[in-house]
Amino acid sequence: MKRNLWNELAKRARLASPAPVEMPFRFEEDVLGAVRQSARQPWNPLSVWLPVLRPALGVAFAISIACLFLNNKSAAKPTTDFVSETESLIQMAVLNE
Amino acid sequence: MPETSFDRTWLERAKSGDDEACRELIREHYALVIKIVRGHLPRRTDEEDLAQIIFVKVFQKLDQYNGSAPLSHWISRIAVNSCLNELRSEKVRPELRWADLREEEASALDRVLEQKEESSADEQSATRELAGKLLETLSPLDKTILTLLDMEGRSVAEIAELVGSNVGVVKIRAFRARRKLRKELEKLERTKI
Repeated sequence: MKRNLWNELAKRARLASPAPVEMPFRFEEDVLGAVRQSARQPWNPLSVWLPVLRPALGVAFAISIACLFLNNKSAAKPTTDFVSETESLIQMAVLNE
Repeated sequence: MPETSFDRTWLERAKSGDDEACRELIREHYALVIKIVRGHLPRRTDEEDLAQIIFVKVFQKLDQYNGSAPLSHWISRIAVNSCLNELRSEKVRPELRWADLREEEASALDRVLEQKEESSADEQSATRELAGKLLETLSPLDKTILTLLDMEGRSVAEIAELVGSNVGVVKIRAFRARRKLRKELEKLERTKI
């Protein structure tokens, strides 16, 4: 049977003694300083909507490009409008009379 | 699970902005947070910086903690999700070749291939680093799931709760990720100089 190398490696890594955990000097003060600083910043209502607005802007851009492309494609095509065809036929018939 | 030395009274004090209680919360949960950070650390990210970001988030959201789960679980969830967000912001996932491995990591892989045991702490640490490098080749969510499952020995149900997913999804992702890593290791073996 083929050996499962990942399982063997993961088992060894799990059993390896982890590096010692020692909190850096003044870590608590740094955290509390950062918390106070973030609390001092005025709340921006736009920040709530930014995650929605960014993708929405992207989608709107993609739709506008697609519309432009389709519009351009249809303008290039010769007109096959039924109403205008009938109208020109009537005009020709009137002229012939 | 009851809180250890950081009990409800301390928690209420921390919620009301008592500096000493906040310091105590950090001291009590630092080991837990740094263990998660080390296990899921994105490349080029300083572990202290990420731990600080996590504690800032904990204090910003502390009012939302309702006590339905132990505080340590709640903090673990914030830590795992913060690491996951940091990993997602990293676009590049490196491909691993034998030549990219450090000497110690190559020796660690040799020991696995030859089924030899690690004899020193340095060798054990190299094995952990090699496993970490392999995990970096996975997508952020797969890396997080497999780190929690294979490196930290957590249960599937616990992982599903931590990453906000369901048990079935976690099992499938873990299965696929393990298969990918097994293939990566076989590829590494083939590219051995």
